[in-house]
Amino acid sequence: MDALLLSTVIAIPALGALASWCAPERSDLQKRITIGIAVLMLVLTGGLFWAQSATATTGFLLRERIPLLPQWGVAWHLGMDRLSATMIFLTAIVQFAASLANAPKVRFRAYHAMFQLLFVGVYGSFLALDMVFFYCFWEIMLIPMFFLVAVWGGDDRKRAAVKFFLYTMAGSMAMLLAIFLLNVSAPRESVPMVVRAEEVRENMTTGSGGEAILYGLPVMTGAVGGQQSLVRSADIAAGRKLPLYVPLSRSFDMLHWKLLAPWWAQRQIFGIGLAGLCLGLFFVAFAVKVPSVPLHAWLPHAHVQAPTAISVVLAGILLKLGVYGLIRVAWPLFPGAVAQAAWLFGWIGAISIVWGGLAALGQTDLKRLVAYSSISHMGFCLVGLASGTAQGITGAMFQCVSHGLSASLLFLLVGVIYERAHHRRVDGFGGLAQVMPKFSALFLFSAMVGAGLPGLAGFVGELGVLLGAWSADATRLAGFVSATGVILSAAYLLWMVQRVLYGPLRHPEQSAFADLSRTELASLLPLAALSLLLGVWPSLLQDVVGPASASLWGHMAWLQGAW
Amino acid sequence: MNEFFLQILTAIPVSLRGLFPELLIATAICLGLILEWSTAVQDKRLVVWFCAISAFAGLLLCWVVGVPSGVVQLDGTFVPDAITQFIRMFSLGGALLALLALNGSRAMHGRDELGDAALLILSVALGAMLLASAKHLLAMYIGLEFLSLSSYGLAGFRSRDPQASEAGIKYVLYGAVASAVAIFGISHLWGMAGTFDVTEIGNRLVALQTPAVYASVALVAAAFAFKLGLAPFHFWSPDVYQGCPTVAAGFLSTVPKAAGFAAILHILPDLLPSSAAGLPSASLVNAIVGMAVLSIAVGSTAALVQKDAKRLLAFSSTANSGIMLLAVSTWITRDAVAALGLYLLAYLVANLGAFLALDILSGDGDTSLANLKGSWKRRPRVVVALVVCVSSLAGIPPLAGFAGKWALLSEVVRTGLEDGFGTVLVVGVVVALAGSVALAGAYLRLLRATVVDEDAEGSVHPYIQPAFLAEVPLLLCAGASIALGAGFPLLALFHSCLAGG
Repeated sequence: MDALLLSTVIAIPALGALASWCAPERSDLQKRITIGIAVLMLVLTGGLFWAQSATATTGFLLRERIPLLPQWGVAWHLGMDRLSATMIFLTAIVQFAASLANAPKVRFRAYHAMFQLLFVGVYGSFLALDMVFFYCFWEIMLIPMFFLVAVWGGDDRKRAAVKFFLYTMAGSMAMLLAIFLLNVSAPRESVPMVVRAEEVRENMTTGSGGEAILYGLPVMTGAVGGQQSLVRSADIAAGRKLPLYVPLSRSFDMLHWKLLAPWWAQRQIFGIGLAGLCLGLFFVAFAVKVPSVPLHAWLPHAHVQAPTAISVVLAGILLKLGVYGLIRVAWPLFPGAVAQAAWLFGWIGAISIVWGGLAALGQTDLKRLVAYSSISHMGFCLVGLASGTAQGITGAMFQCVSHGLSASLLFLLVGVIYERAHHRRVDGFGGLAQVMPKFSALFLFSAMVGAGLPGLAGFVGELGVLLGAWSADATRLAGFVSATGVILSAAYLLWMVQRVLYGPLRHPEQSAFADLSRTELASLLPLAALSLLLGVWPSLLQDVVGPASASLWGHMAWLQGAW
Repeated sequence: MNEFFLQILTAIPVSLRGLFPELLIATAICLGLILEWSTAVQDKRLVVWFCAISAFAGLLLCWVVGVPSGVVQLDGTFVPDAITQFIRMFSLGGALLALLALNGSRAMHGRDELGDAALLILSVALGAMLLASAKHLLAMYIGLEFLSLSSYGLAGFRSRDPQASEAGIKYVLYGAVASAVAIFGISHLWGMAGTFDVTEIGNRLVALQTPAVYASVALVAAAFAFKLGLAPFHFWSPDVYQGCPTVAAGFLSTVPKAAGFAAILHILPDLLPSSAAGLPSASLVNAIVGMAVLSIAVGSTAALVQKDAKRLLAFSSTANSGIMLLAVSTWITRDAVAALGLYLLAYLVANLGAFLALDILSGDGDTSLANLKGSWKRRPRVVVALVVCVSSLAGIPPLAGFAGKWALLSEVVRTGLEDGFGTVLVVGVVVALAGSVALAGAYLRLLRATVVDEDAEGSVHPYIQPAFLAEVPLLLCAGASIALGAGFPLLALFHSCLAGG
C-alpha cells in the first residue's frame, strides 16, 4: 500500500505541471489546478507528517529502494524520516500559500507549469536518499526558477535570474565534484564497517530468515578476517551488546555513505584529507542556497525581482534546502571534519547574521529588507548546526520552519501592498494602519515572529540555537555575536513597521487602499496561526525534530569517540 | 530480410566485406549525383529524399551486419571495430536527421543547391566512417581529406551568398594548412618507421623516444585539433558556422567531431611510444589536459560574449571538444571510451537540435540574438524543443547532456585517482566544471533571447508557413535529449561491444 507513497509525493506536482501545460490557457483553470495540487499535497504530506510524529522511531518511517543500475550502485531510493517529513509538510504549507498569491496575468500556462515543476525538484530533494537523484532533483529546480524570475519578475528580472542561476550552478558543480571524489574513493570491494548499535536498532528491517538488515545490507558480527556471522534482528532488539558490522562497497547511497564516515575520515587525496576537502565542496554548494555570507549576493537581487509567489517559495522553501543538505549530507558524512571546522562555520553563521541584519537596516526597498533579514535569520541555522549539540541542531531545524513561516508571511504582505501601490519603497508608505487594519495587524504580527518575540515561533528556534552555541566551546564566542542578531532584527523589523504602518497618512491616495481580501486572508492566516501555535506550544514540532537531531548528534559523537 | 542481406554480403570479396556500409553509401552518392543532374530545380527534394533513404538503409545495414570483429580490410588499411560501428551509426543517424531538416528548411526552400547540400551531407558521413576505421596513416589521411573536402563544400555551397563564400574560403584555407601539417608529420613518421601501418609504427618507435617522434605526432595531432575545433586551432569555427546554412552548421559541429575523436581513439594508443608499464609519459597526459583546459577556458568565456546564436554555439562546441578530450587524457580506458560515446550521442542530439531550432526560428537565416527575440510568441513548440536541447547542452539533469557529462567526468576523476595519473586529471575536471558554469551562462543568453525577451521595438516578423514535416527532426532531437537522460545502460552496452571487438 505505502510502497510507492513517496514517489507519489514527487509525481503529483509533475503531473500537475503536465496538466497545467496541456490544459487550455484559461487563467482560472490553471490557477485551479495549482491550488488543487497544493491542497492535495497539504493533505498528503500532513498525513505523512502526522504518521511520522506518531511513531516512536527516529529512523525512516517510509523507504523505497529500487535498484536501477546495480553495477554503478545507483538506485531510486527515497526515504522519509522526521526531518524529511517536517520539510515536506512545510513545503506543502508554503506551496499552498504561494498558489493563493496573485499569479501573473501573462503567459500563465507556462507560469503554472513552471511553478509545479519547481516543486518536483523541491519534494524530490527532500526525499531522495541516492546522491545521483538528490543531485538531479537539486538541479531540476534551476530551469523553472530561472524562467519564473526572468519572465514574470520586475524590471531588472533578467539579470537577477541569471545571477541566481550561475551562483547556484557554481555551487552544484562543487557538489558534483565532491560526489565524484567520494564515489571513486569508496571501497571497491565490500569492507565491513562497524556501525552504531542504536542506528541498527532504529533502522533495521528483518529478512526472511529473521536476520537483521540495515539499509538493504546484512548486519554481521565479527571483524575483518575473523568469524563473521549474520545477526538476528530479535537479538539486536533485545539489546545484546555486540560489535556490529555492515559490508559496504561503492555506491551512491547517502545512507551507505553515512555508514562509511570512518572510511572517509581516513582517506587522503593529494596530501589533504578527503573528508575535509569534500566537506568544503559540499559546504560551498549548500551555503549558496542557505545563503551564507559571502555567497549570498544573488539572494536580495533575485528576491526583489521575483514575483510575489516566487519570493515566498524562495524564502520559505528553497533556502531551507541548503540547511537540509548540510544536515542530511555534510554533517553525517564528515563528523570529524565538521568538529574541526565548527568554529569556522559558527563564525560564517554569525557574520551572516550580523551582516544581513546591518544590511537590512539600510534598505529602502521592502522586499530587499526582508531578503536581507532572511540572510540574517538563516545564519542562525548555520550557527546551531556548527555547535554540534543536539540542542543547537534542534534549534536549527526549528528555525528553518519558523523562518519558512515568517518570511513567507512577510513576502506575501509586501506583495499585498505592492499590488495596491505598485512600488515597494519604505518611505513611500506611512500611516497604513488607519486604512488597512487587518493588513496592519498581520504585518505587525509577522514582524514580531521574525524578530523572535517570545510566544511566537521565531523565538523558539533562535533560543535553541543560541543555547546550543553557548554550550559548545568552538562556537561560544560566535554564539554571543549571533545574539546581537536578535536585537538587530527587532530594530530593522520594528522600524520598518513603524515607518509603513504608523504616523500620519503620508500619501493621501493610499487612503483608498482596500484591506485584505478573502483570498489574501486565506493564504496568510494559516501561516500566522501556525507561527502562533508553534510559539505557545513548541513541543508540537520540537518532539518531532528533537529525536532526529539527537540521532544525528549520537552518530557524530559516537564517531568522534570511536575514531 | 536478414537472409537477403547476408546473401548479398557473401557475394562480396572477403577483403571488402567489412566495409559494406561504406560501399553502400558510396554507391548511393554516385547514383545521387546522376539523380541530381537529371532533376529540375523544383524537384531537388527528390535528391534529399533519396539521400535520406540511403542513410536510413545504411543505418539498417549496420544494424544487420552487427559489430565488426576487427578483421583487417584491404591489406590492413582499414580495421573496422566497435568504435567504427558506433561512428557509422552515429554519422548516418546524424545525416538522416540533417537531411530531414534540410528538406523542411525555410532557408533552403526552392534553391538550386538543395540537391548538392544533400549529397555533401552524405559524403561527409562517408568520410567520417572511413576516418573511423583507418589503421593506416594514408588511409587515415584519405578519410580526413574526404571529410574535410565535403565539409568545405557544405560550408560554402551557397555560392551567391557572400557570407557563405567567406565561410567556405576560410574553412578551405585553414583546412589546407592543417592538412599540409598532417601530411608533413605523416611523412616524418614514415621516414622514421618505414611503414604507414599504425601498429607497426608504434612497435618500431617504442625504442626511439626522440623529440622528432614527438614533433611529428604533434603535427598530426594539430590536424585533428583543427578538425575538432580545439583551442588554439578553433578560429575558423565561429566564422564558418555563422556563414554556412544553419542545418549544415549543426551537422558539421557534430559528426566530423565524433569522427575525429574516433580516429584519435583508434590510432593514438598504438601510435604513441609508451613506457614499459604501458602507461603514457606524464608529459603527454599533461599536454592533452593542457589543450583540453585551454579549449574549455577559451570556448566557454568567448561564448559568454557572443551576439550571434551560431557563433555562441561554435565557441561552446570548442569547450565541449575540450571536455571530450579529457576522455582521451585517461589514456583511453574502456570506460572512458564508453562514456565518450554517450557524451557524443547526447551532444549530437542536443547540439543538432539547437541548430535545427535556430534554423526554424530564424526563418531567413539571421541568427543574431536580437533577431531571435520574441520567438516564443511565434513558434512556442519549437522554443520548447530548443529549451530542452539547450538545457541538455548545459548539463541539466535529467537530460542527455547530464548523463554524458556525469559518465565522462566521473571516469576521468576515477582514472586520476586510481590509475596514478594524479592531480592533473582532477585539475582538468575542475576546469571542466567551472567551464560548465560559464557555458550555462552563455546558453542562458540564448534562452533569454528566445524565451524571455519580447520582440524588439518596430521589428517585423512576417508569418512564415511552416514547411511540411519541418519540425519532425527537431522534435526527434528533443525527444532523444530527454530519453538519453536515462542512457546510462548504454554505457554497459558500449563497454561490452568494446570488449568483444
